[in-house]
Formats: sequence, structure tokens, C-alpha cells
Amino acid sequence: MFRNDRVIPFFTLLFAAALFFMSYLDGRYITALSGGKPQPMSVGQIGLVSFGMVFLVYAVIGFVSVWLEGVELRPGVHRARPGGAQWVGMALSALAVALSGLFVQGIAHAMRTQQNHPAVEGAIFAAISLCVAGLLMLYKNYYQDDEVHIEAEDSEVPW
Amino acid sequence: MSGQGSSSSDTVVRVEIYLDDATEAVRVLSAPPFRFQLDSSALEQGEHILRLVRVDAAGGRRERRIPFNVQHEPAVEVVGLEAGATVTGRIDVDVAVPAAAAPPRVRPKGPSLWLYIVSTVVVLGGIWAFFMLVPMYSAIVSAPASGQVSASPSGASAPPVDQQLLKTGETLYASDCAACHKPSGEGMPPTFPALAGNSFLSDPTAVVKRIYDGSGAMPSHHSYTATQLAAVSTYVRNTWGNGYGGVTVKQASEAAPQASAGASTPSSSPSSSSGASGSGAGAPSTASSSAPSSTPSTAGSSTASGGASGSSGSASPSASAPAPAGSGAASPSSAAMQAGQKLYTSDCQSCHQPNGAGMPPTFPALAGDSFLSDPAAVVKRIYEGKGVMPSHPSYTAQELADVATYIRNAFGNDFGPVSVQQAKRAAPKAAQ
Repeated sequence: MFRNDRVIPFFTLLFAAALFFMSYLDGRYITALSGGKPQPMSVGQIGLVSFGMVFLVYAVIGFVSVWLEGVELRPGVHRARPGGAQWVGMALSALAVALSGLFVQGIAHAMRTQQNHPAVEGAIFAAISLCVAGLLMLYKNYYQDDEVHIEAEDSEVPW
Repeated sequence: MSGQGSSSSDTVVRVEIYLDDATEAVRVLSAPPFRFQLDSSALEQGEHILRLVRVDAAGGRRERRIPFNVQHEPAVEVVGLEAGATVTGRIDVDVAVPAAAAPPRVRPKGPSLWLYIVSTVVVLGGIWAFFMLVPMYSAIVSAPASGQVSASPSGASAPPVDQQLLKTGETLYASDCAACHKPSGEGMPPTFPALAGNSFLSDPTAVVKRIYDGSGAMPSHHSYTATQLAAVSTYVRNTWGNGYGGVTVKQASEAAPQASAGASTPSSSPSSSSGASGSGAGAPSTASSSAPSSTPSTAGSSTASGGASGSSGSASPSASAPAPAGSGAASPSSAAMQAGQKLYTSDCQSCHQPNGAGMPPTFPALAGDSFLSDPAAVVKRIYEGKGVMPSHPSYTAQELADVATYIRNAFGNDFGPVSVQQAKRAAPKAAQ
């Protein structure tokens, strides 16, 4: 087991998928019981999905950490090398702007027609959030220098 | 190495130590004493350069390069005996063995790809297998995307469904089965199994036999005619996503030979099933076919005249056995008893049995049940239900009073009548 391995994030992701899968099968069961009519999520499904989301977030944090810092920390100064990251950044920025426009359009449409579509609006907002998160990760990885210090075991640093 | 100085350019904030041309430091010393250990066994044999970069407070960097040679051979050094030396007698020879050679620095590798693949298959496959192996889920998981369960175990196409039988079966189900198996067919597992997606229904003979003879908590229906058996079987096999096909009266007769043929024998040809509703034949439970449990409309409004409160009624409890408690209570009116009996027959007796003996422990006996001594509790239990006991929100206060009166004064009970006012107080939300 290494300091920043991919094993734990992988199994966390696997458990998240397992919980989502169980929730899906449970939903099929409930739907079949009701004669094929889709039903609202049951309490059990909500519980499964909630824990699945927790696992998913934890797994994503783990993978992002591995991507940003590597599997093993090496002491010294690590200069950022942007490479071709600016193109990805520009694409993500443009996508975020476009999605923001779509989001505003959705709100305006809801006000005009008095018909709200919370699922669509939520999905658009989630996509915007993911774009912003991607941009922050790009900046951290490609435009920000890092420096890794080593502390002796008997140093004053508490950890 | 020391880092004490008077000016900022002389103040050492850290010393970075590099090997050869590496860009990443092997060590960074940030505080005195600037001391470290160099493990030469991890280095390849040959010449190397140790680079020490002194970083001062002003950001200045000064590098010092120290070339050195790593020699791994010989593995042992001998002290006390030099080559070519002349020795006599005993001499002390020390053999200096360098520390065991450390393994070369290998970048640690994670688990193999197979571990990830096998773990994924085991976890997700285990969940899938669970849903496949547990009977309650298996039919759902294996069902096609349309939600229709496959026709028969043999894969043959489902037999045609007689729509008239299906309609009759729906009525019978609502009156006699829905209380336990629920209108949605989801039942109340584990006592009352779900009928939706239940693979047991694939065998028409077994279904008919189970309905006719009962099993465990499932009551028998010996009063059913073959037509009614076929109707209920057809309904449960072809509703809630089930698609097992119809059951003919002939099949029902063969499966339950003791069952009477019914008022008509139309089933051999589905089109001739006009009489398939089969409400005749004197089957007691068919009386309820026109009054599903959700709308017990037959509960006589004629009895609403406060018969329940009347104490002059001569109709004493049907049985003459001594009452367990409450003996001497006022006698209920015959009208209330009749109305209550009608409702009891249609909605209650399939579980609590016609003689009130119930099927303990799931369905408690009403005969001699001291719980019935409290009229408010009885009315509340009928109206709201509890556990496997279904609620009856469609009951009016009058109907609640009638049923409560009946069960409190039948089967040898003598707890007295329940008035409409009492029922209203116990179940204020009940319709008038």
C-alpha cells in the first residue's frame, strides 16, 4: 500500500457502483410489482443511492489526488509544465459559458411557461460544476508549482 | 555543513541534495544539523556526483559538486591481514561485511489488473446472483425489459386469456384475496407472498390447488366453483406484469375435482364465457363479488337507524357458548348483526374464518378475544388496521359500527353493540 495508491479509490468506486446497481434492481422490482408503471424512489433506494454517492465522491477525490500528486511524493520543487493544457482549459471554459447560458435560458423558459423542469436544470448546473472543477484541477496540475518538503521524524511538525 | 550567517544571503534555509543529473532532490535538509545518510548500496557501481545546493533566505542558490566512486566489490573487507604481509602465530583478523545490499530501488507497483477485474466481477456478479437466487427477485431480474414475465417454464407461448374470466377473477380477487395479497399483488412477505412476478404462478394446476385447498396462512376456498377457481387463477397469472396465460374451467376442474362445476361451463371455448362470472352455484363468497372490499356498499344503510345502539334487539350472539367477558352486555339489534355479518363475510372471514377461529398466530381468533371488550379499540383497529390486518378507510361510521357489533357478539362473544356515535368517536375520519 503506497501513500497515494489507486487501490482504495478503485474499490470505493466499485462499492459505489454496487450500491447504484442494487438500487436499480430494486427499482425494477418495484416497477414490476406495480404493473410496469414507474414509481417514485423508495426509501431503500434513496438510502442505497445516498451511500453510493458518498463512495463515489470519495473515489473521485482519491483518483484526482493520484492524478495531481502522483502515486509517490518526491521531495523538491516541481515546476509546472503547462504543455497543451491551455486548449483543454479553453474548451472547458467555453463549455461552462455555454451551459451557463442554457441554464439561464431554462430559468427564463420556466418563468414564461410556468413549467419548471428541475431535473434538466439540475443536470445543467451539475455539468457547470464539473466544468469548473475540471478547470481548477487543470490549473492546479499544470499552472501551479509544487514543492514537497521532508520533515524528520523528530521534527516539530505535529504530523 | 552549517547554515549560520549574519546576512540574509548567508542564512541557509535549506540544503537540497541531488545525485548525478537528477532534477528531484533525494533529500532536503531544512534545519541543522545538516546531516544525512547516503546509502551507496542502492546506487549502481561506478562514478557518481553528489550535488549539494545551498538555498539562502534571499533565494540564492549555490551548488557544490562532490564526485565519488561506488565500489560494491569486494563484498567483504579484511582488517588485520594485508596482502603480502608476513605473519606468525595467532593473528586477529576482522572481516568487515558491509550492510546487506539493499534491494534496488524499485518503483512500487500496484495490484495487477486481474485483481481489479476479478473484484469487479465478484462484487457486481454477487449482487446479480443474489437477485437471481432469491425467489422473490428472480422472476423480476430475469424478466424482459418490457416487464412481462415469460410465459411458462417450458418457454411455450402462454395460453389465451379469457377476458370474461379475467374480469370475474378481478372481482373475486378484490373481495377475497386483496386483503392479504394487496390490490397491487405485492403481498406482505413473508407471510403473504407477492403474486407479482411470482414464478409459482407458472403452473396452473398448482395455482388452482393452492387456491382451493389453501396452505399455511392461505385459507382454503372450498366454496369456489371450478369457474371461480379458473377466474381467480387467470387473474393472478395475468396481472401486475405477469404473463402466464389463462386457465380454463376444464383445467380448474381437473386440478380441483371436488369443486363444483359452477353455474355454467363455458370455458372450453373462451368465446362462450358469458356465464363465466359464475356468481351462482350458491358459493357463499361470490356474494361479495359485487361488493369489493374497497366499496362495501352493501353494508346496509338500512341498518343505519342506530340499530347498533339499540339494546332491545332480540338477536343475541349467534353462538350460545358463554361469553368470555362482558357477559350481560346489552344485546345488539338483529339489523346491525346482519349488516355486520354481511361485511364480515365479504371482507374479514377469509382470514378470521367464518367461525371466528382465525388462523393464529397470524390471524387471531375473534371468538373469545378479550381485545374486543373495548369498542373504541375494535373500531380503530378495523379502520386503521395494524400489521397484517389491513385498514378499511372506505368504511363509513355505520359500517364500522356494524362490523364491530357483529364480531363483538358473534362466535360466542357477548360484548354488546357498538353505536355509530362510538364508531365516530373512535374513527373521526370515517365517512358518515
